Amino acid sequence: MSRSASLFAALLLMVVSSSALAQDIRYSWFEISYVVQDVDKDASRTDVLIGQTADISAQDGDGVKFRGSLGTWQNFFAFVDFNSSDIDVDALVTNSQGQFSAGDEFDFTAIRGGVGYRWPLSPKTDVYGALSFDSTDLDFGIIANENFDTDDNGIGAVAGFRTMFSDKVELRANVRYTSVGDVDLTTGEFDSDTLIGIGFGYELIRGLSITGDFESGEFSSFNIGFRLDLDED
Amino acid sequence: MGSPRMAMNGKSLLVLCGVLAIGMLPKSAEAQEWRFEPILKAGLVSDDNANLSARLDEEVDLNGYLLEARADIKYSLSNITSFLLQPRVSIKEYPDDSEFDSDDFYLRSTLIHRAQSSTIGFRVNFDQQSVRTAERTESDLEIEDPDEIPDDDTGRVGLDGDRSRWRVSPYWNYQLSNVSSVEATVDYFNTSYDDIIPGTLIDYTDTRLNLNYRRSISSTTNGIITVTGRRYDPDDVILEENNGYGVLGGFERALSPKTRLVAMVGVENTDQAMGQSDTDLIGNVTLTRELETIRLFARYQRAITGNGSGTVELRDTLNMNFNRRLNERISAGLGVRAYQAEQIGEFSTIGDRDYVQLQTQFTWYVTKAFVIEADYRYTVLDRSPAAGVVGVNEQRSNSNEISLWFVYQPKTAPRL
Repeated sequence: MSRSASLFAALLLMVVSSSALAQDIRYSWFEISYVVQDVDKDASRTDVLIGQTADISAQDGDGVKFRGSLGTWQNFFAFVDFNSSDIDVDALVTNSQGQFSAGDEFDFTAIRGGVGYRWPLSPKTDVYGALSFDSTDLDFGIIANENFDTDDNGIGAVAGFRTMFSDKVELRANVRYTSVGDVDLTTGEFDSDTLIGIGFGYELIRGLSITGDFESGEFSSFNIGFRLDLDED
Repeated sequence: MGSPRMAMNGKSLLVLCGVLAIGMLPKSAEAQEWRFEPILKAGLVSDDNANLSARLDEEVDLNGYLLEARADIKYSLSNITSFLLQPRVSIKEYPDDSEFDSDDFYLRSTLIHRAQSSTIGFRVNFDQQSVRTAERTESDLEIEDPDEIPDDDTGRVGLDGDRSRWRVSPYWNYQLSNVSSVEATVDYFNTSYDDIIPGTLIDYTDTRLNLNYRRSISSTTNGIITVTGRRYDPDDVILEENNGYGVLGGFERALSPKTRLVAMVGVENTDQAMGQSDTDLIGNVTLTRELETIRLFARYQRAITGNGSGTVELRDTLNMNFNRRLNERISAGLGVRAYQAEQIGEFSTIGDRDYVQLQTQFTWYVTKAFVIEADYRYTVLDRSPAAGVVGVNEQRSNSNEISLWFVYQPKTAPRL
């Protein structure tokens, strides 16, 4: 069973009758999502000793995302975000024997963890800010004897708002900076990026919501999944 | 090579367990209670990389069915003596890949006898599993005893063969006064592998002795001091045994009537071959919380552990189980089991590893006795090459496993 089918089957289980109570904005939850990840990067490496050039083109793929948040002392919260996707990659190897093409997948892993603070604007709307430690890893393995693997760690910051549009529906948006949000695959060097995100949550049953987010940047992604509240009402 | 191995075979252990059980059972039939709780499970499973291969062309996509039978046989007498025997059989069949079929057997037994100022306990466990299931640690939402969380897997799930493991763990607790007690615990493991490629996984025994002193500091806090010693003895003509000694100090505190915290920190020194030694910081933090609809167990542990690699390793482990009842019939669970293992010994058949398994489970109580469980697990394993192996990069693999269980448990009360 493919990863997509596995996640779809899991999501189907969540479609249950709703009997929700009015809810506030919550900061203690765990979320699992199916994610569509766009990388869209090209790279080229030439080995002059053997007279060979390897060109690769990373495209898009899918995977899973796990996110968790824990409301702590007063208005602070701690969070972690783990994204693991398999990304399609096309390769073209050129040498004295001719040109050879191949297709494969590589692992894209992005991990963030940090702390944040929320400011309630009203009982149903918060703005928040957070600082994080960010890690991005692209694991290609060996392609035609060329190692395109690269990873780096850095810092991140996010500012956003969350609002309860109704008793069951949450809407949210954020702007996020990360120092490891872009990469030059030819050199393996990382660069910063600023991403814009929007999302929603719909409470299916007390403590359980379906959730979706879209984030636009150099590594854009869309995810849909479910969120389980870790606190009792 | 080290000292003579502690020879203890299955028959002698069973006899020992039986004799102790019979000896401690009362002769009177008064206030005795027997309980028999059978659980039958049938299910379907799909795993897109069951052998956790790092290469796409070597991944094994398994689809099959599962059968499991378990019985909890409990005996108790007036809160003085209790005995639990828990046999379990787990059968996995894959019609299109029958070479991965497995029949795994587990036996858990625990005997506890309480006297006026002391408690004696005796635990004997036996597992016989395929290497593919035994060497891959699994998140378990139902685990109740932190001491039962395994920490001896190697991640070498691509091998054929079987693993047999005995665990014998007697303990004695003595109440010195109203505020203090001492406890001695021995934890003996005897692990052997059959039908595997020689040198990939190595038979071993691992014995640990813990001596605890516990003293009440306040109505909500106890102080704890532990002195520990261990011997890891691989059954190999080249590999040396590892002896270790350590000390820990810490406390357990009731943060609220429903929340409990235990924190311990210390050091452990491990002797190596050729006079070398290694001293490491060890410890653990455990948080348990039980509310009306929520049950939480979270533990971080840094410890020296042994496994079939032929040496001991320093392992940072995170275990978290979270269960929440969503309504009268549905509950959800989250599980995290993650570790980072670093080899301590010079010689090992495996390298350092990072492992993460995230589990999510939904349980639907159709009736009190009939339950449907849907379970999803995402697993990541990063492997570095073993010491001395050159020309091999770190390898990363991941898998997605989804299973659907139909459970019949006529005498088991739902926990949430």
